Amino acid sequence: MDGKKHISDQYERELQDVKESLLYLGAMIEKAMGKAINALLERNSELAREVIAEDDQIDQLDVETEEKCIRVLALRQPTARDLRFIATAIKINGHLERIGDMAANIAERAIILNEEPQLKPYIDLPRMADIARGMVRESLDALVNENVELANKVRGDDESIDALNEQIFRELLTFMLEDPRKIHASLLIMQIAKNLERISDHAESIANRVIYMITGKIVRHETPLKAQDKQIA
Amino acid sequence: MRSRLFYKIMGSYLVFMLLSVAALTFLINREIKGGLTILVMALFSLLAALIFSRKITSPIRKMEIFTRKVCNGAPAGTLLVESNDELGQLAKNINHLVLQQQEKIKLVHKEKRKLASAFTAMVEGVMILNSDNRIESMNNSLMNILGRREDDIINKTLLEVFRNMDLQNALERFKETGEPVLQEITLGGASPIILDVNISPIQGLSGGDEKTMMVFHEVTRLKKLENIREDFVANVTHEIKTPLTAIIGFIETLEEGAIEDRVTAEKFLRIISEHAQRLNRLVDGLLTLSSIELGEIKLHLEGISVVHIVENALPVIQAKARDKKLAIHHDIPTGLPLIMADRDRVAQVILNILDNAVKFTPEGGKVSITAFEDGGGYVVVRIADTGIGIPASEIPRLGERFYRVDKTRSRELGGIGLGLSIVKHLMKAHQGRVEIESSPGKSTTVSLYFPCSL
Repeated sequence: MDGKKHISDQYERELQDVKESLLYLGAMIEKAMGKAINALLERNSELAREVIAEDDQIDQLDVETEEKCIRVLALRQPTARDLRFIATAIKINGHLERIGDMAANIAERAIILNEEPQLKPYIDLPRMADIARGMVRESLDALVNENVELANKVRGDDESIDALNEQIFRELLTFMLEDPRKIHASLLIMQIAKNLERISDHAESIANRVIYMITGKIVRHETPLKAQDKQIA
Repeated sequence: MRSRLFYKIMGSYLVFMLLSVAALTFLINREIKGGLTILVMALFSLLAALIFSRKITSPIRKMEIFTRKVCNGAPAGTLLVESNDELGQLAKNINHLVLQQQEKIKLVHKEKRKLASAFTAMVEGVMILNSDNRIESMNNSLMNILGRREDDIINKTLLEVFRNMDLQNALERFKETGEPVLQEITLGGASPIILDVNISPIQGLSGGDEKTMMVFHEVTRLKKLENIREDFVANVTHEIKTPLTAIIGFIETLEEGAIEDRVTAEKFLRIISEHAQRLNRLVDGLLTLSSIELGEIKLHLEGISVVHIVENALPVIQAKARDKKLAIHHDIPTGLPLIMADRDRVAQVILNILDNAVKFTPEGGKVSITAFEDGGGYVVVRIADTGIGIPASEIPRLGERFYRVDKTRSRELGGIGLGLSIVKHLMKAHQGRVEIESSPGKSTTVSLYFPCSL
């Protein structure tokens, strides 16, 4: 009896350990994203270089977390909710690692942009970055608090990111048409916007996985509620 | 000396003996006549024994009920035993003990309340982690700082609640070394909160529990001030250095022979003079600012007419506006109350704002000036342009010295970075204020509130 309890305690600890690793990875990428954006807005290439250097740590933690998940699967054969949690953790881990890569991408482009005079004051880009960061944060909050409602909200936020991305594209197009010397910087900014847009896609995927983890329902091919309502209207 | 209780017990014992002897005699003799007497005697002694024993057991029973009540924590009152023997004394002692215990509990409660109210009222956020590194308790300040409810926090790990790398690393560092750790962390995205966190062990706990105390101190405002100061120092050196470099460069070129070429020399001298003037404007600006801040500037307050000031300022601006093909509309109703202000300073403020409006409005745009009475004892001069605008997040920083929204552009346009700062301070000295509204890419509206003359 006592031995059994001991084993289940150990098992609980292993599950918690996976969760903590995932959240630590989340904390790392949230920080990396913030730094990458600030590197661009404050024209601080030093900060950008830090982000690029720290991406290795993110990759390493990604591997460690996945190994932890596989070990639990192999040794404990979790069932039901625990199994869903581990399966979700493996997927979320991958999304987080990709977000880390995008932050490094943004940082790389920020360094090049910082060499040139600023094309224009950034207005939509920081807004887009705020929404993307918010989505990542909220998707992880939904994971911690097992909050389906919050996860659903994240799935709806993707729309405003797409709209901003398009707006930035249109604006930069006018810059490029006006003056061919602005093409290089404009393209870099577009790539940054694209990266932010993809970060938001990953956040949305995390939210989908969280919903699966809690409800056992796979929703990633369904339109988020909000979008559905709009289509009907 | 024998005690009273001893006599009581001995009495009842004696009665019992008598009873037993009587019963025994009755059994032996079995004589009806003698037996009846003995039976009566025996009954009498039984009654006496009952009375005696009741006298002893009833206070004990009372005490038992009373102490049980006390044990269960029910309000017990006082134990009443009217007896002069040991039982009475025992009851008195019990009463004394209960009273003492109640007072101690009251004291503990009072201390606890004191601690709890200190814990709640503290500005610093306090959090206690249990031996599993889960959050055991936290005070209201921390909940306010984090903007979360208690249920979202209690019994969670730091990573679950904060998801902050620096905080987690600090905790791990503390766990490894056992030494108190101080760490600065930044929480949140769009408007981050900066916190200083102190992690230290809680000592003197029984049961070998290792708890951890974390104290959070918000330093966002301090950090902001620090940034402003750093920016100011960096900017002021930059602003002085730039014209100086140009001046020195051109002088060196002149010295190396360019002075022989009259046309080039004149051009260079003009550039040198421009930069020297810029430097002069900068130093003047800084001096003005510091004297306003120190309250050294004497304002010659008098009742003056806004129309008059604006009409005087317009010709200066119109020349610049014509170059950029800007239309300037002004529509100031006559009959506005006079404002209480220093004529020269108000002119400086209005010129400054108009100059900004013209500077940041692209060709073909429009600048309009209106004025009205706001009903709260102010005359408002409103200058609106159709310029590049200012992002909302930058507006609060506009009054800072050398703060530029677009670092490259405004310098190209010849600003020294002190205009709005001077305006803000002058308006404050006039007991007025500046309000700026803007939609980026479309327009900026500056409203200057001047107090009316009485």
